[in-house]
Amino acid sequence: MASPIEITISDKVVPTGRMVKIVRFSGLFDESNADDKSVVIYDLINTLVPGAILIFDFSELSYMNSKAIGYLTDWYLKVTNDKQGMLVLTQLQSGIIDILDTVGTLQVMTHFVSMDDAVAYASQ
Amino acid sequence: MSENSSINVGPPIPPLSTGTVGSSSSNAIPSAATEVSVDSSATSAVLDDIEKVISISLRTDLYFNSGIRDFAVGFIQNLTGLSEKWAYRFQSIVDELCNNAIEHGSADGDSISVSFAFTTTYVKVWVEDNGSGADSITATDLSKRLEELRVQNADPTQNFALRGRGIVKIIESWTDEFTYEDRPEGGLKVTALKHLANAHSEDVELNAVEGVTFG
Repeated sequence: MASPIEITISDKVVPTGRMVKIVRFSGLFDESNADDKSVVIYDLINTLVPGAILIFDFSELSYMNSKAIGYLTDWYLKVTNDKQGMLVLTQLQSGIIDILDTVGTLQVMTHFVSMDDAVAYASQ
Repeated sequence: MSENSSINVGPPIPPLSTGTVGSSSSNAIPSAATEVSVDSSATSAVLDDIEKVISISLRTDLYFNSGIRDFAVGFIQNLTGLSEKWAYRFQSIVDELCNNAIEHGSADGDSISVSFAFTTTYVKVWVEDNGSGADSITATDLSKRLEELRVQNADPTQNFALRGRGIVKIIESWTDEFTYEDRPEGGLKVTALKHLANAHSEDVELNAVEGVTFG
């Protein structure tokens, strides 16, 4: 059995008319589920058109371990390098900010306090 | 806890020397509750500084890790006086130690031991495996691997590896002492210690810089 985590993907049209993917993570992203659940995002990335924009909503994500962080950095690399797209984070809980800051992920990835801020950034 | 796990409150485990690689240890995985005897003539200050230990035996099943994480949060918040931030940090520290013990230490269906200890000056967690896992490593192996990982993690803007952050970035950043040694019975004992004064100082510094509180 694995820890509970849910990943939901939705589309949002930003003010400029562009479509962005909102990916919401809810629950615990840890060693027990990271390998299985990562497939959801890899499958999504494979469908992306060049220049795609992803906003990861972490408002309901209360835990990430080092393996989950590894997947996050790999997704970032694939979206930005392979798809010439953008991947930003938003609404991170304080514990998630702390661990991502400690491992250095926030030196690479942009994060926003609110979804509105993330959408505004994606709309540029 | 499931029927496959037990909580044992055992006698304080004698402190080990730090920074020792590959040294043997006579500390067995706690297996039964025993009485703690206390010298009645000891002063209250000495009594307060006796290391209080809680040990938990877990089956090697990642599903139990979420329970151990929750226990770590409660232990830190309720028994050490550390902030919520450190409670959440210790849930990560314990999780990373357990994941390594399960992945590299003990075989499926076997067990690991997770122990929590505190005094008035420090909090300590350690995980022991029995080396039955197919990928079990020695303290010397671990030392070499950590050196490689420190190089890999030197510049996070250039590190997109899937693995390798648990010890050298998370545990070593958030603790003051990280030690590991071979167990005479096989496997490793891996220990992480945080001095309470340092944790409190870091909280004060962080709040002064950012003007915010954790939570």
